[in-house]
Amino acid sequence: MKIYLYAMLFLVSTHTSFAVSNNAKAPNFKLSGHDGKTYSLSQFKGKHVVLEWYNDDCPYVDKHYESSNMQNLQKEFTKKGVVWLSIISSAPGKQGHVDQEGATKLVKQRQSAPTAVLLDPKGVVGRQYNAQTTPHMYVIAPSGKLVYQGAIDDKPSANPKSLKTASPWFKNALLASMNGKKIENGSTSPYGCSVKY
Amino acid sequence: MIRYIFLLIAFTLGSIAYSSSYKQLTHSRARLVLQQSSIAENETIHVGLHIKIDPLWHVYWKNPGDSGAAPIITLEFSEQGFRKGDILYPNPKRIVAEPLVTFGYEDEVLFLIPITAKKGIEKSQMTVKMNVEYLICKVECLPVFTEFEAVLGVGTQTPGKPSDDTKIFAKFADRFPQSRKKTLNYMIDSSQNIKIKIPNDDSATYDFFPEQYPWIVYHPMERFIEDGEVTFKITTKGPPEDTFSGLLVRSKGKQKTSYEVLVRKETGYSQLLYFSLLALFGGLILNLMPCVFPILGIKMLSILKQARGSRVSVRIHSLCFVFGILASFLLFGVTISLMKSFGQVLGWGFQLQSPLVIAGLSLIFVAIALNFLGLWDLNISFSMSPQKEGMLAEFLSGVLAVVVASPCTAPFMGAALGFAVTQSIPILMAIFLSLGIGFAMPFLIFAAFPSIVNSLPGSGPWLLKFKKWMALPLFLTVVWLSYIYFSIQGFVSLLLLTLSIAVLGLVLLTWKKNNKWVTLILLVVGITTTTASLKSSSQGEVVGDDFWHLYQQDRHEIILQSAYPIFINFTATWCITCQVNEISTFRSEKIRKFFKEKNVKAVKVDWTKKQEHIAKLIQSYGRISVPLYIFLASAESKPKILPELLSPDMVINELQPFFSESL
Repeated sequence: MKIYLYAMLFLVSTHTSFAVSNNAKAPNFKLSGHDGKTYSLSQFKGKHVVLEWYNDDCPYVDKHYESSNMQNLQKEFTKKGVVWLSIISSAPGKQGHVDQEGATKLVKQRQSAPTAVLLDPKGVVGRQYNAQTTPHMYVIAPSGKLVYQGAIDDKPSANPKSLKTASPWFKNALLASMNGKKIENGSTSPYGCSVKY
Repeated sequence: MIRYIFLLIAFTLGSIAYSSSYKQLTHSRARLVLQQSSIAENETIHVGLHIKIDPLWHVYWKNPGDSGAAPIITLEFSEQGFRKGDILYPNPKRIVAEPLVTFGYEDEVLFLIPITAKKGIEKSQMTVKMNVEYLICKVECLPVFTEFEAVLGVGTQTPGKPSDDTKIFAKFADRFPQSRKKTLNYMIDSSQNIKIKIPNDDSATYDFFPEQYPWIVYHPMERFIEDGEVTFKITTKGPPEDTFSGLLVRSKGKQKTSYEVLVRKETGYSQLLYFSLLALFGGLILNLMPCVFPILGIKMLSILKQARGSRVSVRIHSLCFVFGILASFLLFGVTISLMKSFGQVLGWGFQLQSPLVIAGLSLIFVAIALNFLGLWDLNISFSMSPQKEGMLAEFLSGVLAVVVASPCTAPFMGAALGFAVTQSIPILMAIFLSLGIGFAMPFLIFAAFPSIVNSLPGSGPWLLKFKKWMALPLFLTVVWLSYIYFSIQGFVSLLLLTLSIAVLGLVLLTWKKNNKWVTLILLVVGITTTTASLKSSSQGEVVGDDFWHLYQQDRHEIILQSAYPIFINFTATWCITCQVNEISTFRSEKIRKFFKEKNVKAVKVDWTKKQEHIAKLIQSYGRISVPLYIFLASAESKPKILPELLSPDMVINELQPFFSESL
């Protein structure tokens, strides 16, 4: 019989998602922030950049904000000169979607301290980075290379109690990279709600 | 309104005691289900969580896919003496929300947790408390937290009674993976994609669900069917690991069968060569390990006996010994492969986990030692020539050498064995054969250069004297075997075995003088005591001390996940190398001080008895044998495997870097 009697895709993907490998150059992007300014990745060359996929209505995100875990990380690292970008890729009408005004309100309510909350309503940057969940964390080294992608910690639970025993994978990776050490586990499986593209 | 309040009260009451009503939860209803309403000792039954899911909503499999979360279910027992296993998941389905995919369940699902009752539980009932967290999603997701309680009868003799939940269990019975695991191979194509091929019979279709790995892109997964073969193509976003796990679901008509599969990188020739060489060296070094002590006497005598013999006879005898070794290694290979295909994990040294084998070996060694002392000899004709008898003796000595000396691993050997068991049968056999050739190497050299043996002092009166001295290591071996027997079977069994040994001695020393009836009666007595000693097994539990924490399965989390750093010592009474390390290294002040200073938690895992969960734990580190020493600096750090033969300085040198880095 013919080679490939039939070839079947489980699903025909309309959008192709490009995964970025670790140690590859992090793709550049340009998005507008909650403060009305436009931010691009290239302007932060020479600094550590954190990308945090964000959907305030997701219970997993809520665990990290309600407990102030996320805000503390944001404060700790932006103080040390790290650029922290919280990206919202929820499409209009989907859970977590906000406009500029809504994003500003979130920052105030949550008393969060990212460098900026970026709006990606078309999900372009989310797909570029293959962001799957909220939260989904990325660390970009000063060289512009991606060095960490994955979960914020090792406890895929919405229970705030889980924070006590969690091993902070993302924080450890960022610290290691800042101290010029080898990152033990640069790629982990993220957990949380799906990004609402 | 009032009706709702009543309903609410009803549900709250329902949650307190076990009942057949479902708890109303977020977009779902759930309850605890029991496979049986009571459990007998040594019995394993399943406790389940049955969730009825609202239309359009779903919950997740153990790998939720691109997003979502696996359910977290924990059990607590009101009484001691129960053990719980890992959660079992029924076959999931793909739930797609472009460009992501998740793996989960719609409509309804049953998650199971096996629980086992140990022996000697006095209580007649036990309360199971189930703590549950699961994520339920449509587009948005909501976490559900709840808990259930149920009372389970504990019967000491009567088998468990079926419960009212049998219908639910029956409905899901064929949705869980078969206990038999499958192994598949994968290849990497030029664009770093993984290809898994499986033979296809025409009317069946296949689906594959990988477990959670950060380097796998779950969606889309392509499937091709060509002449008699199904190919799954999986895209990667990072370097693939050498082995990974998943679930293979085979559908034929309405019938679905699923298997847990281990997918491993297809072995290249260079890899095979590497591990064969490793096995060869490991086998050769095994000759110098403390394990060999028990058969030292036999080995030396078999060499000396041949001295001054003709070249041909040296060759033949050495080769017979070699064949005995190779045959035993191949037999081990076949046994381990067979057990593997039945889903059982057999570790290296499994033969010494069997009381029957230990009892048999003790009797054989006593017999040989008495023979060395010249107190009896095998003077019956097997209707074969003395030449052939000699050859048979050499062959059997080879077998004995492997059975007794192989249980502990030599350097290089552990890695080779660990690799072998993840491979297909021909490769596994090739590695085992290499091990055998390595172990038999000295005798192969004698066969090739008989002059080495020829030049040794030949037989004479001194050899008879020497032979008598060689009974000493044999008796010491019997002492060691008795100690193993005691650890596995307990004191009474050991006493009975000692009695059997005494009877055996009597039979051997007197059988020529006695009349046949006396010998026969003695034999009957001996067989009876041996059989009795095999049966009366008391639980000789090993205890920890002020240095070692003892590993127990039901305290797995507490011991292995609570505090770091941890040093894990996988050991067994039958592993002589382990005992040597214990004395040379772990008893040393230097090590104990070092561990104390650095706050290293020392955990001992005792594998003297055959225990599947320990075998699995060892396998999770890519090994199947002891000694195995693992150091875990922190929860995320890669386990550090230490060499098989230790010294205090070497252990400190290996571990020191982990501590200097963190300062």
